[in-house]
Amino acid sequence: MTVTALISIAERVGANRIFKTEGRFHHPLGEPTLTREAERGWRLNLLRAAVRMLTQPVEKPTVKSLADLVGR
Amino acid sequence: MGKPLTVLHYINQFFGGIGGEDKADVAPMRRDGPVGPGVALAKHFGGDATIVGTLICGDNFFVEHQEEAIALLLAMADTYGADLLVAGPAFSSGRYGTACGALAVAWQKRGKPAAVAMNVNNPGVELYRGDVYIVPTGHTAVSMSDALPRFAAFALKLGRGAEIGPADAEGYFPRGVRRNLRLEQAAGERAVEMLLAKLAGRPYRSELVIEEFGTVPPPAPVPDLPRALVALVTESGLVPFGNPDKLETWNASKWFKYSIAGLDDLERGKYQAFHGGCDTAGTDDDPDRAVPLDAARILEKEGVIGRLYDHYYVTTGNMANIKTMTRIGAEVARDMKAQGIQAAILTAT
Amino acid sequence: MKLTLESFKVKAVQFGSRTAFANGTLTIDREEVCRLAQDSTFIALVEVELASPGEETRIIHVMDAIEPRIKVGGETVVFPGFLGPARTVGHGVTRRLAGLAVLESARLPEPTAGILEFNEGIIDMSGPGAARCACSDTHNVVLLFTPRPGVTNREFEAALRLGGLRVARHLAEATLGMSVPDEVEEFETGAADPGLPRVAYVDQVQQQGFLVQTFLYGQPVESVVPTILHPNEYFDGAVVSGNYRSMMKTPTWLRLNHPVIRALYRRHRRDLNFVGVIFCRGHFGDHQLKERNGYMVANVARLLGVQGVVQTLEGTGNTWVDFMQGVRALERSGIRTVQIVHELGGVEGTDWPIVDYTPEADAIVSGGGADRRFTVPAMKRVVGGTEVVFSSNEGWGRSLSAAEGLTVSAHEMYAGFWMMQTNGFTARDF
Repeated sequence: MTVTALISIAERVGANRIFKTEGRFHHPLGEPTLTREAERGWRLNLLRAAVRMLTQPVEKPTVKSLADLVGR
Repeated sequence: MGKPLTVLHYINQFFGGIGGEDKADVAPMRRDGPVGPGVALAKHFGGDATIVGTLICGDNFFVEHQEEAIALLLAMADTYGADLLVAGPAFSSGRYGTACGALAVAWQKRGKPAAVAMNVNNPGVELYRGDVYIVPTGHTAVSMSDALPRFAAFALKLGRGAEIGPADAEGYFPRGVRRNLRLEQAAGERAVEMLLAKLAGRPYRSELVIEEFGTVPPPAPVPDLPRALVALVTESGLVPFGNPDKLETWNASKWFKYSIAGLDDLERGKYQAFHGGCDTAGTDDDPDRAVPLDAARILEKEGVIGRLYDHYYVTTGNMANIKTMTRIGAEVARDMKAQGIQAAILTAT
Repeated sequence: MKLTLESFKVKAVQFGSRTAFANGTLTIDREEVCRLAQDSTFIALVEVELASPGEETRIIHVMDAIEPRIKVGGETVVFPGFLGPARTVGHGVTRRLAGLAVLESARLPEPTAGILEFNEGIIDMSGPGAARCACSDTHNVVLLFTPRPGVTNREFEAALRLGGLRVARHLAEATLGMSVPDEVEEFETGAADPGLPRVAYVDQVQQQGFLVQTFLYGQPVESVVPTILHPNEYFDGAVVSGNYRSMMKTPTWLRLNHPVIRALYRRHRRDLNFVGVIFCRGHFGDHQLKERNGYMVANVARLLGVQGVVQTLEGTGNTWVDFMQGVRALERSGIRTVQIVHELGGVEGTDWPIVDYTPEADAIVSGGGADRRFTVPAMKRVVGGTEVVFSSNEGWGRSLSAAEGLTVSAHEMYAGFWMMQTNGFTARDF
């Protein structure tokens, strides 16, 4: 499963499970504007959602975000 | 003009007049002069080339005994000593097309040119167009009279050793290489021309046509994630400080795996991101931003994932050669499978 | 808004006791120019050298290139926001010295690295490199700047930019005493002809941070949203380069003489209505921002009633995504697009030519593969230093003698990507 901000590239090269991260593309699971502690929680939250894609069937390149995976 | 070229023509059992599908097992044979479509082809060559011999082989024989077929056919070819081999047109016949391509490749290894013809949908095109000039044809032999003059003209040019121009100008399938040339008109002028044509509904031709990457069959979901072995992989170029194995910062040719055994996170100062295409300051400050070991360990402790593999894999995805990255991906996957890894989390910058 | 551009063609440059322009020769008072380019707080020394087309001369460490221009009368200045107030330009009368460029050459005092770094790009005044770099066909007045000890890159870069712009304007002043220009052009978009398609130019500029940025009326375009500029604003220097990734940059000289804007003006009122320029930045930090920008570009185009656009991008890498998001959004709004691009594709031309793509990009003009190699010969004279370090050459990080013959690609040439496009290079499938 790919965690990235550049989802259009991931889709084009044929990655099937693509998690659209909320970080900037330079550091996909980093948010330097948060405090260290808040950022750790932010990262854990995203990764926890992302790994759900590993248990989901897909038929073609599929992009999901945090909201898609844990609901509103 | 010089003396005419001598040409060998390869055709299958059907065009050789031996028989249809029932005769697809016939072994290679030779005939002097042109046979079947070779007769019309010879007319298009005119005085510029002579078909001195025709090689015929059954499609099944070739496919099932490829090495033997090629060896026999080349031995027969040697008795003629021709300047050029032409094979086909194979139209949409897949076995025939692949036979043409394979024979042409083997022929070319001896230093003489070959030209092949077949339809775009023939699997022989994808397999061989990188190695051999293939002239496009229609779907079936109904288009023979369209194919032959073009095939003949191209083969003559090739046989004479003339410089072969761009694929669309010369009429062959692009071979996977793009070369520069220089035009009179600047890009701005050409762009305005192209836009006016596009707006008016007149035909235009893009100077760059992109073929799609193709798909990767999606693997089935991990059946039991809380028991699965999961690995972290990244193309962010994150390496131990000092880059001990000298991973490249662009156009990478290598991948590495580094131990994370016993670590709960990646410590600042012990790693650096070797990536020339993005701002690495954030990652250098906290490497978990690129390889989320801290979060992954918590998921491991919570039992969301079974176990985290004790290394992370890395390469650099910056100005990368696609073919190299395809190789790297396959090698990493092989290593992962050997370790019993069932799922991978790839962080991509 | 009508601009009258009066051109005075330079056929030769020389040093002399007084700066003057007569009979096609520009005479330059060396000391005066050095004083004008100076800012003694940040700059220790300014020197000047001249280089002309056809010489066996190589110019290195080039920062920006600027064409001498000056407003005649009126209340605006060229390079607004730098040499004067940021009032809208592109009207009235402007004079220029055609066939001349002021080049700034300098080495930054502090090291740079990562994506915000200086990339060397050479200018060869003759030989095979000349067609692939900017300013090989202009007489060049090269200002060589040496920083004061302890000065920062920011201070130094700002000072040399102002110095270069001041000198460019000053040299153009030499035309003010003359009565008859060599050429007069009038640029006006005016009322649209309803029988002709409405066309705009979409200019996606490079903006990543200090040393890799673009200025609009004197300010970096970090927070710019897609906006509309009149093409004439380019001719008076409203857009200035602060981009030192030499191979991919659009030098100020090129913006003043913008090849796409000129190409559209040439067909204006004959085959199309040139409505204006849609100006935006690229290199946004994540996909959402890239997509947002693409849609805003399309929105501006739609509100302008544009039917077709020519698009270019400055830079490479992730900014291709911004670019293709723009293509997609425009085409989905019913606006027809044509892109002018550079290609990569590796040394052999067998690798992927572009970084991102959308199927809607079906009308592409290519400037050819920027990775293909060619050799440039040894040069008798090098202006600006003695050694070069290329960022993307095989000998990455290695210091090379600038006077020697070199094996390079467009990546090592000043404005290489743009100049391949401008000079008719392209690539075809073989």
